Amino acid sequence: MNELEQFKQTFFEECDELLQRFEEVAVTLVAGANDAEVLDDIFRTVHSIKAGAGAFKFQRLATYCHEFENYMDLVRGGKLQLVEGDPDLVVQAGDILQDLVNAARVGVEAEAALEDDILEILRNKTGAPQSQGGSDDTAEVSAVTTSGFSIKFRPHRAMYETANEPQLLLHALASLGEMTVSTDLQALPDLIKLDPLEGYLAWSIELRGEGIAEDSVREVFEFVDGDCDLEISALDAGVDEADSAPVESQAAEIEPAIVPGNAPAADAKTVAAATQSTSIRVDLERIDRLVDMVGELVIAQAMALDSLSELVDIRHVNQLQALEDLTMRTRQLQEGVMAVRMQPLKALFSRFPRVVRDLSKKLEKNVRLELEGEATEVDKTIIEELSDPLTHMIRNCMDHGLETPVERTESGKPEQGVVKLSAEHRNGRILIRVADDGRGLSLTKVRQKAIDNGLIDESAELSKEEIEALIFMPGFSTASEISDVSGRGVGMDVVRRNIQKLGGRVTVESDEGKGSTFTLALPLTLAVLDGMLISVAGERFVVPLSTIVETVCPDPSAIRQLPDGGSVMSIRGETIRLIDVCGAMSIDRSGQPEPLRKLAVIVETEFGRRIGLVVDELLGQQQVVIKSLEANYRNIPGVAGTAILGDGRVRLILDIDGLSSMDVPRHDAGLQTKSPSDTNRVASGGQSV
Amino acid sequence: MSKRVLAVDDSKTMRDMVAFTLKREGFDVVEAEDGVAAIEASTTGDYDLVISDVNMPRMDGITLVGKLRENPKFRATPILILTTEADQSKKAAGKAAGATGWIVKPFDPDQLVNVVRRVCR
Repeated sequence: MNELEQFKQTFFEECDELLQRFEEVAVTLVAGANDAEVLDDIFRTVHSIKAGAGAFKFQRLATYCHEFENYMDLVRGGKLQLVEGDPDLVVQAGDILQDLVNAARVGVEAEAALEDDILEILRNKTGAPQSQGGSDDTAEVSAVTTSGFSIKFRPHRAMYETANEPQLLLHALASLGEMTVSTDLQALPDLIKLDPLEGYLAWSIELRGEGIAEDSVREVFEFVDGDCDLEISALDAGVDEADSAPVESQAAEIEPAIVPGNAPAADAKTVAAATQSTSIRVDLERIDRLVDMVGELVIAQAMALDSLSELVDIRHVNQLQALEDLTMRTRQLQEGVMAVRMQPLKALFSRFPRVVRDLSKKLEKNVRLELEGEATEVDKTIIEELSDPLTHMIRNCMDHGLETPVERTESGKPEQGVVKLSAEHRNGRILIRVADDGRGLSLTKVRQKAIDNGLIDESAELSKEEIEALIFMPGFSTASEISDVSGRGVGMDVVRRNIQKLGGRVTVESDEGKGSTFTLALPLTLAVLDGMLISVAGERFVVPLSTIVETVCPDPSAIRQLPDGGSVMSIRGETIRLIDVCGAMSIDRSGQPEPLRKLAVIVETEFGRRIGLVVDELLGQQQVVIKSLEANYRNIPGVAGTAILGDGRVRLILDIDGLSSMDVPRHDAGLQTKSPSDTNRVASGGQSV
Repeated sequence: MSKRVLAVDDSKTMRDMVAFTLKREGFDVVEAEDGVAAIEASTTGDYDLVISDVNMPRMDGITLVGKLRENPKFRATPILILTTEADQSKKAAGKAAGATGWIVKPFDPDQLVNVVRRVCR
């Protein structure tokens, strides 16, 4: 209590004030004013002195005040009528009170029996037992102890209405001994029927420990008595044996704080057991081998189907059925194996809150990151490759996209900017979006910058989409404005290149003043490629679908021969170099009929450059399993890899970037065919930019 | 952020003791000398806990509890009343008005902290 010494001075000063007030009021009482206010005043004086006296352990003063207060309480409550002489009694009692306070202040015992006469009178009037000396400190500590208690606790609504918190009560219980809690969720209704003010949860508690008094347990629930169902029973001594069992002690270690509102504690054991058995670590190489083998199986199965389909007729309907069944199972097996490589994006996305937090401090911008679709699963290899591009894009959004808090307030936006990172599966691809609600791309500025940097001609007429796409051009980001944050000499062109390496595409949509959205469209896996099968002079090739922008059937008038033997075509004002696949792949066309009209498949390189591949025919889309040519043979310019198709033949997958930089041999068989018509769009292969 | 406590008592000694004890436990303590002052303080600030004496001039503690509970801001705030005696009627009246619990005076700092911890983390 030493720490309370400092308050004694305050207490005695306060006593002086109170007693002075007492005297003033008591005089009016004697003069006949016995209204409620006067009586209240006197009561409160005694009450206040009593509280302090108790706190500082001035026992005699406290006892005296207690009796005096009891009397005054009855008087002010109208339960005792003031009769002749009573006001004088109050004044007298006040004098004694003063003496006792003074005695306490100087630390000497007041004259013995000083207050006894008055006390006797007061007790007579209030009907209190004469012999009672102290305050009603009757709480006896129960001596009965057991090995612990079993407690069933179900709060009612009223308990919550008085702001009593079950979690804190459980905490208080936990401080008494070893506690195991399980939550009973049975009464919990469906969300739609849930009344947020109602109490639905109940707890079964086992509290173990030597010498826990039942009273201490009951004391925890003191405030909620009557506002809950509460059963407290001593634990059976026989149960004690179980205490030493390892499982039991493990359960007891569970932090009680997490228990309320969550799963029952008992479940924790099951969860721990479940995590042990549901996942194993497997070398990625093994999985890849499995993927490969299933790929081969798919091919073998397709070959079988191809060769048999010629033989099968109505007489073999059962065999056909079996074959179709096999096809379906094979596809399921392939999907299943691919799924092994899939991982949720959560691990990747969880890095960004920190990036955003750190950066918002650095940029002095108030930014909130919203994550969506973290559970979306993507091939492990792709996830690893996405980290850098996404980080760059988020930095870019925060640095260039979002305005400063002042600018935002001025333009009527909330001070806090939002960057939203979301992912979803769509059409067998993954779409990852990085969106901000910042200033968006300024079309005039982007255009001007592209002109300044020599990317486009001043006279070029570009659509909104085309201007926005300029930010992905190499050389668009210039050294002069590379900032510490999103700069580092890396522009959006690098982001695009990285995404394209993964077989994906990146696009931007922007609303000036309202924000921009960058969308990454990626294949689910790298082991399988969506391809467009084309034919040239009887040979078949696979063009990665993700590179195809559109397919046109060009008008000969739109094609111009270049002096070096190459040719270009013009499409909507853009000049595109044409590459004849026949020539590039050194195919001998002799003996092969020229098609009536040739097609130009417009593809886009990693660097955003477009070229037109001149082909005879589009055969259709097909998913193919990629086989490395380099690993099995050697690298061939213009070929990215191989794929084995259903007919069992190996087809080459064209390497668009390789082709675009190849020195294509001179040819004149290009597109100078006898096509009379205008430039026709016949198909659109991949996604448009 | 430390928790804020509104300590309401007409006795400066009691306010000081509550403030001293709780400040040592890491609370911020705002003092009010009676119910009316507490209502004023409640409109201008947010509190994580209210500790109020019962017998006070102008507005007593029970009335204060009732008024605070009517304020949506204080609907889930623990409110403790200080009673001088183990008076069941005061406890019951306090609880009926919406008090979370009570502290029986006289109390020593440990008792105060114990009770506070039972209603406020």
